[in-house]
Amino acid sequence: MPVDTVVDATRAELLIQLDDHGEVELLHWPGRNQLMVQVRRAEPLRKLAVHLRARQFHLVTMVANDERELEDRSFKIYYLFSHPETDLLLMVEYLLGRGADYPSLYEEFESVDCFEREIRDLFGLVPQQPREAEVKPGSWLHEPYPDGLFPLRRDRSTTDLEREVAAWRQDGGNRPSSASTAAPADAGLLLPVGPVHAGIIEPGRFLFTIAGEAIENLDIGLGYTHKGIERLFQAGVHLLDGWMLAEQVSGDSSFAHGLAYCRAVERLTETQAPPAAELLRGVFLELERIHNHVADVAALAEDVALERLSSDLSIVREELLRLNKRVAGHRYLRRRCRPGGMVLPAPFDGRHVRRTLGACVDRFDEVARHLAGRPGFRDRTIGVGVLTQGQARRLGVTGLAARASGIPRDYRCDHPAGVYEQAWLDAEAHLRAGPSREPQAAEAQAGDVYARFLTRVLEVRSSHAVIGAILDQCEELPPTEREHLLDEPRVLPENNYTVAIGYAEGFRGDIVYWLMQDKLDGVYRCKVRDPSMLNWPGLRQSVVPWDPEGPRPETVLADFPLVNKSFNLSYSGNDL
Amino acid sequence: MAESRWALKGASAVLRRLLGRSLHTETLPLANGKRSIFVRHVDGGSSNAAELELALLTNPIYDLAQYGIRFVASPQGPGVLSVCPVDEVGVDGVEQARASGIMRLSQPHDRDGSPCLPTHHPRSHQA
Repeated sequence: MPVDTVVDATRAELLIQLDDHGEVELLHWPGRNQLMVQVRRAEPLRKLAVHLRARQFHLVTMVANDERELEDRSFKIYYLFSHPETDLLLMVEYLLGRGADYPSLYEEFESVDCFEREIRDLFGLVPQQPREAEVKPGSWLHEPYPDGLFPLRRDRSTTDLEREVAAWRQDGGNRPSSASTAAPADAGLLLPVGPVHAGIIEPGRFLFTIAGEAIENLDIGLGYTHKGIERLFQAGVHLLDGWMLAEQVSGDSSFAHGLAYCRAVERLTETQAPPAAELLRGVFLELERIHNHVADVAALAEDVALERLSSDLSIVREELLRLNKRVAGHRYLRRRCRPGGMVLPAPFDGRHVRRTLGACVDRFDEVARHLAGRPGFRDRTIGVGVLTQGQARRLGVTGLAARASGIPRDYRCDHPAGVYEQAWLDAEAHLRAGPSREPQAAEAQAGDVYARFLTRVLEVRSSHAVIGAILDQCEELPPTEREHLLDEPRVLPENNYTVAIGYAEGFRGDIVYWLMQDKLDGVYRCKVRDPSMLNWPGLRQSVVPWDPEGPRPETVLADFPLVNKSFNLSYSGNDL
Repeated sequence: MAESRWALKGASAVLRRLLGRSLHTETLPLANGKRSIFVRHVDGGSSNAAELELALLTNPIYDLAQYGIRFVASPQGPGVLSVCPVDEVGVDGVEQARASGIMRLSQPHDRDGSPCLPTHHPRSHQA
């Protein structure tokens, strides 16, 4: 049976199911693989969630939006679900009406937890009982920010907010992060780490409860790098200029963030990037993945005291960054991706990429093979920080961490866009089938530190192959098309207050932008969802010695830095 | 090294605010080549790109240590405090961290706050 028939059958079945509930209204199809429905009451929303859970949908993001001055005169919550098998993205719009509370889907999708906490601090909306007590204030905004600030509500200007924060600071206001008070009363020994860490890294507070060497509990307090990016987006940023801000969300995946934003804008402006630009976007996305994976493997080597190998890898990394500088004019590939295409400072030099990358990946492979074979390295990493497939599914973990736990979640294959679409490149063949043929495929799905290390190594190889395939296609393009990289888009007034989704698979996982345009060609609301947001609970689960099903092996405190580096999550992308 | 140049510029601006002195007076010992300098880096809310670039300064290619510059973990006694980025809340946060002692190295403690070592805990002998 051709794939399209399967997809259509699932969609038809889903529509019939939605219809059965009677209260779920189909709004429209914003794109080939997207479907948007509206629910107005709590009961049908819960029913729909149960149904989606049974059909193996997973939660991508949850967005609150202040639409009190728009048509429906209400706060709204948007849920975005993904169904990888049929490449379907389902957006559910829920109207809050007059109240400020909404039903929690925690029983069906545990990953709503982080979003509910965020919405509590940024909008002041609380899920109904029994979750209400659990969603405490102060997990996103704390210390310099007073409670009740709710910065994303639209009825207060930026000046008002600044004045309120200044007044609070003047009075000596200091509100601790809710994580620092979360330890149970009977806890024995507490070990606070952070928020300012010893290395040159981002701030975040880890509160360990330990019994001797073993970790009993861990609370992760984030929000120390909160910069108000989502508020900045709606403070008069032009729709076509928002990529500048998007690239600053997380420094190491600047390109993927910029690309996800650009894809959302392209959907709103109904433009398409020229073929040459799509090919280059693929190359840059994979270049970014490779240099970050090399850095992460180097960090793991350093943590097990293999300084020599770590230094070798940091030289490889530096060469990859210089390659970026040469082909894109920026070491972190910034300012290259625009809505409607790409902008390059000089003609793209594919041969140079091929040559340098080949040498770098060969050297990386050699070191990685050496590392994988070292008994010391295997001892420290195998069976340490295990995140089982069941736990990962329950918590909604995504991206690389999910793949290392045996969940084949990869937006390049699940929801292919641009160069990963079948007409260009058979992403499935390169990314899923390729690594699964490797002899270490089983080890790479065990969910431990070693599995995440191995997944990175395999992905560097597959990314290298993908770049090779894309460069082949670049060379086949006729010279006139090869030079044509940008079609300037125009903002369409008929799409005012329309929602668009843009996504890209960064090196940590899928980066999703939820974007709504306002009537002044600006951004009404832009919700950024970095994969770190879903993966922080996964890091916690991988070191605590229990889960809802029972006790798990203990992790010793000395292994935590290793586990943390194997996930390498972004603080900045989470705190926004 | 655009990112780290920017970071150093940012650090100099913050130093002026924090210390009331410019970075040049702080780096004078370095210029005569006789003394080394310890840098404590604090992230005041950056996108992490500046941190990545600073971390790369210690790799074998740039090898910052050969100029006598070292990034250190402890805030006790470094010559330079580098902070990025420079914005109001970030600087406030750093000032506050300095004042409240968060930047002192964390110590394990009991529920009532008295410090103790992990090995002194009664339950550590069970395992």
